[in-house]
Amino acid sequence: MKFYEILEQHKSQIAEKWLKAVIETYPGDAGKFLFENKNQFGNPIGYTFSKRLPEILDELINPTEPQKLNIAIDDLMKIRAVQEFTPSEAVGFFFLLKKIIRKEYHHDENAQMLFREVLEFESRIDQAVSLAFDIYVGLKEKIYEIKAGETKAQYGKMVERLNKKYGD
Amino acid sequence: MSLKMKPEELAQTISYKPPKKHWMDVRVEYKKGSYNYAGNPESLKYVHQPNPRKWQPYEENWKLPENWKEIILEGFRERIDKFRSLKLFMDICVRCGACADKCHFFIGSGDPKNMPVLRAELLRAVYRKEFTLAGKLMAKMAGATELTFDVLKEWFYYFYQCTQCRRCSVFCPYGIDTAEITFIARELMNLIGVNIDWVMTPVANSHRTGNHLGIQPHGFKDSIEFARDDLEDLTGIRVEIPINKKGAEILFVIPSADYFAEPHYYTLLGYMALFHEIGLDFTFSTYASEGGNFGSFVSHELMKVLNAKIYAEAKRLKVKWILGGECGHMWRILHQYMDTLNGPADFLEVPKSPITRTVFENTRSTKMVHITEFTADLIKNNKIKLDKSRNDHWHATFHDSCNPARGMGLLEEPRYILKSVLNNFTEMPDNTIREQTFCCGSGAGLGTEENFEMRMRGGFPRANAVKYVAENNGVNLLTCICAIDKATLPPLLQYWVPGVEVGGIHELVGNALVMKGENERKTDLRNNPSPGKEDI
Amino acid sequence: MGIWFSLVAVAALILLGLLGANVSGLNYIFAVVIPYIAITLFIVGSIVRIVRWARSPVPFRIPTTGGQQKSLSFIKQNRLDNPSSYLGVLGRMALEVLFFRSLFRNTKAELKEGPILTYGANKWLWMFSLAFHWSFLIIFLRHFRFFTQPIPFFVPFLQDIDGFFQIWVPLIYMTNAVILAALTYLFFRRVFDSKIRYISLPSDYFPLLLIAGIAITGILMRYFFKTDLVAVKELMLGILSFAPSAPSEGLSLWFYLHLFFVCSLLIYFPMSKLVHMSGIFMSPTRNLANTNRMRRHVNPWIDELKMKPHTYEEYEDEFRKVMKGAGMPLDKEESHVS
Repeated sequence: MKFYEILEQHKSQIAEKWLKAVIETYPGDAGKFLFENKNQFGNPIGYTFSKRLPEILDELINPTEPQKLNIAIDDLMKIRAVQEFTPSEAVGFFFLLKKIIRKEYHHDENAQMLFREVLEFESRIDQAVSLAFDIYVGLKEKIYEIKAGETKAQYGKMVERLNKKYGD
Repeated sequence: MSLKMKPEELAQTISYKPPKKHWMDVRVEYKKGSYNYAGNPESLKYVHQPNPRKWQPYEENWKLPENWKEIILEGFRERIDKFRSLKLFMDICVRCGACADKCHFFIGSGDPKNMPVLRAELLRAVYRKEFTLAGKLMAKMAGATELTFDVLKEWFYYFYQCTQCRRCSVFCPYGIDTAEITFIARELMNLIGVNIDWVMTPVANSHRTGNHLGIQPHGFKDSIEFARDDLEDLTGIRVEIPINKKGAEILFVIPSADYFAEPHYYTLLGYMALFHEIGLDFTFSTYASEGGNFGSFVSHELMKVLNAKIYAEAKRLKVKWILGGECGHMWRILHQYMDTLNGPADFLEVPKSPITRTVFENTRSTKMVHITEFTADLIKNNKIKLDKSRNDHWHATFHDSCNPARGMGLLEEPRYILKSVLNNFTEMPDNTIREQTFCCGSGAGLGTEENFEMRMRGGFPRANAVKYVAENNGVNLLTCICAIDKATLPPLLQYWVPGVEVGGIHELVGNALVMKGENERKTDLRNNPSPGKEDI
Repeated sequence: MGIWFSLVAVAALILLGLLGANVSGLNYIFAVVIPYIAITLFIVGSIVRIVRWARSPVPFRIPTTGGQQKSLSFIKQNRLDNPSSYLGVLGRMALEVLFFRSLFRNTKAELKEGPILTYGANKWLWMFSLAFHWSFLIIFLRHFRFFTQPIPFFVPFLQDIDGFFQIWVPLIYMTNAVILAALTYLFFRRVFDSKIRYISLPSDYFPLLLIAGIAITGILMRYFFKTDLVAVKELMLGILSFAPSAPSEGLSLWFYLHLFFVCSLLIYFPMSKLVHMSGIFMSPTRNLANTNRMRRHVNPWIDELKMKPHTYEEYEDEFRKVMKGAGMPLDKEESHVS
């Protein structure tokens, strides 16, 4: 059996394990609380992760269009970028997927022969990490822009008025 | 390279999982983006608050008075005797957990101490230790703890992570109100000079100049005249703007953000257009140029002295009654506190609309009317002409601001107006609006830059509901009736739901209002081309 | 930790109860003396609690509004969730006390398949709490057949309803099954819901276990290990008429345990969170009408807030010059102070 077929077959279990591993990245009991209900409006974080992680996995196994992956990762990074994580922690949850796959599916009897495919899949994960990191940095930049804009808006009309009265 | 490389080892990531501990044993850590800077000593001095000094919450030494514990415990004892709410809320919680997942900060952070029940337990644990027999005898088993510096740090962290939005109180089977507990906890901390600058400096400004930003009377006049010029450019009509006018019928009080911040400013233009059109005899005041009351975010005493200006000015100017603009916590104070704090307002008359002759019976004691009550009544009586199509570039939804929703029950008035001035309106999902509305995440003094990440987390449930109607219904405008909302929802939406703007109800009224003798409106109040005028 | 502490505490109570049942010299103490102490402590303790709450004033009128206010004539007020009259408040409190209205609000919106919103309910907590409290009340009222002679009219009535299904001899009461189910739910919810476990204190597990002890001993006595009911009634009537007789030999071990648990609950009640029973009636966010702008609410200690507002005179004195420059009206042309 081909490696991708194995992945395809176990997709939902892998996604579940991945979600569990992500929960572990939250300090203390936070993860447990965040993910125990997946109500769309009552618990948007639990909902977003349990919706987006399987989508990302799917895209990694069968890439269709890059935009899909982008949207899903963007949704997750928005959440991680404003939580109390260092940059590496914020994007690090992709590596957990590698760990899961190595641990669970590497021991398949044909694994040795499928090594090329394994490496290829892992490089897809690496690409996703790069993408996530770009998005993360973009979001941080955006936060600084928003902060600057916020200060401007707070006094916006006053500055405009002063300029009109005394300025250029 | 082969599989000998032991992938498990390679893939080992850091273990994030700290050992499990009881909540009383977990200490607070001040992380960037999740706390507010300390109150500026100059501001504290100006309003005679205790222990003015330079300090920051992340420092080890908070420079507290030697006997700080005694001061807090004495203050605690005093307030137990003064507030039945406090005493009762300390005693009757059964920790059923109905409130646990109702707090926007908990939903956005997962931090267990953001569960309303646990936020209150921070205070309760000390209450049990000091004021109950069981707590004195067997501390841990009774859930009691001694007041230590670590506990104080926790108080400061978590009571300044509560926006006093009262959402939890709606779901509590005993009506336990975390806002009330936070009020009092902050008041206790203020006794030893532990407070935040974004509250204290506006308080000092408001005390001195009448508004949070410290705008002096001529600056106020300047701002309003500037708005008048803008409105003239937009409509071709030059409106009257009475300031400190004695003998006017109505004193009009607005949050100061309305005349210097965006998008508040467009709401101000809306008020001015409306008042001109109906020929209202009103006046602004420079002395009472702030409806908001940041004093209420730190102590009842400061709330009282800042609020006192409104009645004092109404009396001095000899107006008949008072009208209040769009603002959230301002209306909590006006509705639930002002009459008690600074009344009775026996020098005023029961408010009566000079246009419709409607008597606002619901305000017969306080004598202050909410602008949406006033305008809804105008619309109902067909006193103004409205062209809904001028708002066709907007598809709006309405964010119930916490205080008008859960401290007044002002739910239908703004919706009535919206539906009269706008064609496209969609509600957000049911458990995110009206009395169950989600907070903007920045109320009660937390809307600071340094607290930005916390605000984004706390505002996520609100933004998430907006995102839903934006994606499914094409909503592009979030309307609200609160100045803090108008300041803090735009950044929130820029982050979570780019493309959705924030606006006030009276901005849309101003757009739709057909004024006698006006020029053809080429743009809306924001200077965006009006619908159908995009090509001009 | 909390669970173990509570389990040990209840086990200790069982041992004590067994002691009372088996050591004949202690029978009188456990059947008569302790009940008197318990009833006294319960009554006095509850009154002290209420008086203490009542002594603290309600300085501000702070109802949490759960619906549309009373304002304009053409806008429909929600009279129960945002009452503006005593009758409305009465209604709101009745809904709260009798039907746990606020807990019932625990709805959640869910999106299932496609863009249609469905409202799933999260009403387990509401349902089981309500079931627990109502069963407790009915069981308590049924016990009046042991407390009074003649038996009050409502007892046979309740027995008929409660035993509606007519199964088993003696009749199985629904409330007996319901209270056990509800207690089980409430207990395991504390153990298995991570949020609730995190916030739970020993004083949250203990009353559940104690009440379960009462219910289980009661049920065992009714269906399996019969006790002499005539002797029970004699004892209770004696106690309540302040003429206690010596406990008869017919009182079983289970009865002693049952009675001792009840006494423990009575003693524990006023010094624990169980005072929510009386406290709910005094909650200012629920028992006040939202008449805030209609009627002035007086705060007895308002004058203790001594800080003086910044007056207009002081304000004009400071800013007179600029106000004059801007052509604004002034109260005085010159400052008196300067």
